[in-house]
Amino acid sequence: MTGKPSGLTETLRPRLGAVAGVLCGLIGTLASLQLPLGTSRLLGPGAVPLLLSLAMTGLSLALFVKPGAEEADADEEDGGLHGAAMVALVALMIGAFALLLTRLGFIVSATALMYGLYAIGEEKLVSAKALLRAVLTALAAYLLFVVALSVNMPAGTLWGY
Amino acid sequence: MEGLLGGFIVALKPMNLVFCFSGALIGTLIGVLPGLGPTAAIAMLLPLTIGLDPVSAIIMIAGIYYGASYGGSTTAILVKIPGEAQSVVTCLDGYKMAQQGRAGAAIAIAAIGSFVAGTVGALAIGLISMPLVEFAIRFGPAENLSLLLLGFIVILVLAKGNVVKSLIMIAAGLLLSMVGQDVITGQPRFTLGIPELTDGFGVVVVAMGIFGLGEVFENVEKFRTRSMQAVPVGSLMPTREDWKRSAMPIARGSVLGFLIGLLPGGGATLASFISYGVEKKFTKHPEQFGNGAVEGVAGPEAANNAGAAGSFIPLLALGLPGNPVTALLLGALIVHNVTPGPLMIQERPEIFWGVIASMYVGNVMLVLLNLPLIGIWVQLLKVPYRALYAALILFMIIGAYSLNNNPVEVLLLLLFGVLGYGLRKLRFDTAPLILAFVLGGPIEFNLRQTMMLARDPLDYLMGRPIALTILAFGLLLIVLPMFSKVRQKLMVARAVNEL
Repeated sequence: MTGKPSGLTETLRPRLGAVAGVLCGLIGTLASLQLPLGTSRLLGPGAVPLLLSLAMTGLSLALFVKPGAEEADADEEDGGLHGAAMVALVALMIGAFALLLTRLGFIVSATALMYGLYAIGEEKLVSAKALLRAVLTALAAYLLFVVALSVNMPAGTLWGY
Repeated sequence: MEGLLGGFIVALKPMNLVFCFSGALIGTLIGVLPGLGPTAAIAMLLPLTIGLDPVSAIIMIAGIYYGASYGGSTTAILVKIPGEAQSVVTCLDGYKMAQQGRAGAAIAIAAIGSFVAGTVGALAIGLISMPLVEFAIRFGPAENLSLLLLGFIVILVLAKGNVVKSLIMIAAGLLLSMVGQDVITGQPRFTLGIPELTDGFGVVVVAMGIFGLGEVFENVEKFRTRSMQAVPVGSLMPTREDWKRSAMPIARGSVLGFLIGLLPGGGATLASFISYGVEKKFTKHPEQFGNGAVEGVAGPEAANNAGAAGSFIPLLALGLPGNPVTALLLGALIVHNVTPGPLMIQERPEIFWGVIASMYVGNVMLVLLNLPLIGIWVQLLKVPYRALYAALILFMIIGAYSLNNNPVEVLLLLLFGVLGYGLRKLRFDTAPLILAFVLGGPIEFNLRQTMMLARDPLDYLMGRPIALTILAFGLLLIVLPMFSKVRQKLMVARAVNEL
């Protein structure tokens, strides 16, 4: 996997960062202008964010024009599209967990999340081993955090708690 | 001396010993995992300390820091995967020693070097901080502002890679810190009407997302490409020759590392790199460097620990974090309603001296308890990452949720995790972002107060010699490298002409 970068080409990568920076800078500028700017002596809530957003836009434009040489990192292996897809799946599952946590309760949603994560690790959709591990991890986390450390995790509105 | 004794009384309380030990133990556990270093470990474990009193919390975090650094060195030596930049140098000779069947000796020398350096560092912090505090007590908004700006300048001068990218990260971090209520008027800014954002983003969620989850995401990507093969540890006892060759590098590393740690932006990583270079110059066996020279492990390991200790001084005495780890510590202290700086040492001496004494206790624990546990850490290295990462993610999610018992915190954790991952993929250094995020509030507050106090900013500055000196020093740091670059270009041009 080393040598040729798989996902992002080396000319595109720095410019992509610059474009994101310009966008963030512009959004920040527009949002800051909605706030009072104050005077030079009595700066308003929008003044410092406005200056920073303008600086960010300018700097990102400079990066776009002159991206500079990319520093080679010793540990710069890239997971490629497959790797990025795995990360996206994991992120989606965490998002789903956050949305379902209050309704399904900690044990059910944690078991589901753990199953998904272990299944991704094994690269199998159906796996008894992943299910067993998921149940054990969720139970261990419940015992450690909820029972032993008294962390208040939701029990689930769906079950009437 | 009295203060230090008082600190030991605090640090040696049975409860605090338990926190220090559990911090060191869990810190090692996370630090041993390949790709995860002290910053990620502290970020992941911060929520655990929220319910504790400030002294115990900070003692536990110090334990996590030392534990994770130690764990990171172990992984660097055994599998050649550094948890963080500060262990990169250890890989060079440590892994070679391991390949020669001397992993145990390398790990032991690293631990003992760290212990000696930690001891020197803890004593030196006590000696240096007090005079610094007496000086800093006279600081007003202008001086604080210049000091914060100096911190950024040094970070930029020492930043790795592209300076423009580092500046973008600083601007992004400062902007993120401005979400929530305005520091002076209390007016909500950039909250998008979301009530959870009224108090701004919490430092724990931001740090845990960018450093912890972002780091895990990056490792998830490498499931397929990364194969790990830990080499056998062998005897933990270094030979007489090892001891002889390590003594001076450890001593030099301790002093050098501490001095480098004092610089904002310095700290453990820079200290370890410089120590390696110095030892290569001093050694009688330069040909062995890169091939398993014990000096190449002893010096940098001592230096990175001393550098870590040194970097606590600007944090504790001035409230100025010089690197991501101290930025996280600052965040943790703020969460506990403690603002580091000269006033803290005068008003809450038990925290200041307690932390220093606990650094020492933490180091003792690492040598006495963690070294014998090396077998367990090696076993942990054999468990594939794909089986461990799920538990790490669950751990962070529970930590984020428990901050406010609100699932929105989990979504924010995910948001910052994705941001951290994206920034890594685009090769942005995330350290300046987190530093700027933590310092954003104080910078804006001091800037706006200075502007209020000053009718004419230039005139006002002329009447503040300390602020002026700090700013002049910052300017010098920017200008001097430019001159050396111009000189280099001139020399190259002359050389080309002569050809």
